[in-house]
Amino acid sequence: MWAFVVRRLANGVLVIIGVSILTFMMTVIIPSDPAARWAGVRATAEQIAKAREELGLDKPLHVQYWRYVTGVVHGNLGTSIRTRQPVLDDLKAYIPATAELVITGMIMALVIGMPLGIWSAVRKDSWVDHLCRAVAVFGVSLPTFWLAMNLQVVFFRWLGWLPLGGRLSGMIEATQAIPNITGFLLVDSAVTLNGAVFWDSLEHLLLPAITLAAYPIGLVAKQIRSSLLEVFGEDYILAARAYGLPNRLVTYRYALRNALAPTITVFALCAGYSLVNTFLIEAVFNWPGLGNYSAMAVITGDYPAIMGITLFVAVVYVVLNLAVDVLIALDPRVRF
Amino acid sequence: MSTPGNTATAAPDEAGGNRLVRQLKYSAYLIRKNTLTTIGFSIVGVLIVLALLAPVIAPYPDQALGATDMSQALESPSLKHLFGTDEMGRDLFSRVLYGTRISLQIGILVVGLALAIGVPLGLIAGFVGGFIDEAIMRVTDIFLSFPPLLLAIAVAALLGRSLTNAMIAIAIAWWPWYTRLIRGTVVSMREKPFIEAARVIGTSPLYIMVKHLLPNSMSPVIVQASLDFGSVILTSAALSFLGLGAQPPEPEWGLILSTARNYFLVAPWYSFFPGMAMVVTVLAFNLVGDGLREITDPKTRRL
Repeated sequence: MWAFVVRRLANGVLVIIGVSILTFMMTVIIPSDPAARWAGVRATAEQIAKAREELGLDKPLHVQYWRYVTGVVHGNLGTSIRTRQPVLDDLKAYIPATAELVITGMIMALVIGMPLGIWSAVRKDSWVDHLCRAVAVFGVSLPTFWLAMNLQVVFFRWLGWLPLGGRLSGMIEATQAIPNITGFLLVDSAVTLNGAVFWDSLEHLLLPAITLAAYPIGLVAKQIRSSLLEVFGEDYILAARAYGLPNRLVTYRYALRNALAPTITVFALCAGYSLVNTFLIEAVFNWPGLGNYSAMAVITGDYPAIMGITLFVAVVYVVLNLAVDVLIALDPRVRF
Repeated sequence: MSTPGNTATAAPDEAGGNRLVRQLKYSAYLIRKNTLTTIGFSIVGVLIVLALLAPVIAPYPDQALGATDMSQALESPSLKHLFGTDEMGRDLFSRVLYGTRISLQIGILVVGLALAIGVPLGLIAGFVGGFIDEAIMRVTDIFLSFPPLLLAIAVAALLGRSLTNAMIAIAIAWWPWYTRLIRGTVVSMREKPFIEAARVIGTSPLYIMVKHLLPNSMSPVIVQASLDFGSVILTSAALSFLGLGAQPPEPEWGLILSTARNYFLVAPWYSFFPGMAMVVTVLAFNLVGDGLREITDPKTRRL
């Protein structure tokens, strides 16, 4: 088992190196000249040549790559053209809001998707099953940003229950001291016992989090259903049923535990996808996070920011998948 | 297997032809038996017809392509404008209809391009093995360590804004899935007796790959490709929504939704109809894909 974990970790490191090469190659193939952009619109040919030298663009590719990698390792992801700040500082500023959104959404996906999938498998081919499968297939067929807009129409315009967007109301922001400990407003306001901020941020979080959860709900439910059905066909389940053990016990203690591994893998995949989905969701809900920053970077053609985000999200995604594989390998039933 | 000799050659050919017809008939039966799959296939059929006949059906074809009529801006749905009009007074029904053409084209071109890159690489990796296999698969690993939407956004942003670039970007994010899929099937088939037999009688590797391995490993790829059709349409809409794909005044659904965003609180129909069109299309392809999976699954086939 440990041999597997070590091998998997080594493979993860290789993949991250590969990711950095691919990201670097992308910056090389940009059609526009970074040196010209760096030097400014009215730069002379001489100034551009000087900028090229300063940026190291006159060096051979492998030297440039080495420069890029050492820079990244030291936290230098370049400077955003739009905000004129180091990309890493921008990322740090925007990550907490996005993390809060993604984590809440993924928890929702679990809380809704798991029971749906279990229910669906237990009552296979009943109306419940059909309904759950319909929800699942709709969840993966909906354009995220369209769902977001429709939720805004229903819950903001028609019902008036929830705010349109943002993370806090202007009123709350003006009158309350906003705690900043972890950067997660829900946690920070709960810890400082600030009820007004807590409720306000919860109201703002609800719609974007549901939008984010729609896709993973479908995938999680589908996966749980199919792996549960597979496990239900095993002899030991038949044996447990033959002993007359209650259904609840058979389902939750015997079957579900053995059906979880593939679901965890799918879940990690979803978390990675959700991180990218925030590009669209945060743009619609005007959520001040990484996704909104990325959408702005895309719109304004802010290449250093785009490449920094791409590298960051890809690394998170690789690490997430790695963590899941290692987690599953720690299960003593799994042998390699 | 069969008895050698000239007399036997005619019979198996005929049986082969009959078998193909039988197989197709059986597939059609399996499709009809499953209501959801039937619905999926029917919707796809209707969409293709709508896309082909768009210039005939659309009441305002010139507006679909960009002509404006400011006197009719943001009108709600009526008999004159079934889906209402947009902020430039263009008939949304016509635009959504023309959008069907664009979306189906995107699906065909992107999936086609991804297959054209991914399938040969997967065949070669699986059949040749060794260092070449290792090299191709490590490259796919790197591509697969990006969420597909992220890679598509990054590449599209770097290539510059246009629908063509967006399609190239999506195909670049997509091909490794097919490579991995087909390689897996080919590896499991490489040592089968019929391949060994072909090798023994001196068949060229290229012939083995194209004539023996390819047809026998295509069914999972076809299932995946039909499922991907929907995802590709969604991805391209997402790129357009971010301003990377189609450019105004193209009637691409994602782009229409992107402009609708500025008006959706005053004109909810503006975003509703193009969104619905997209949901129906993606759903239909998902149903078709699920159905094809069941049809090609040997477990269902044997019954």
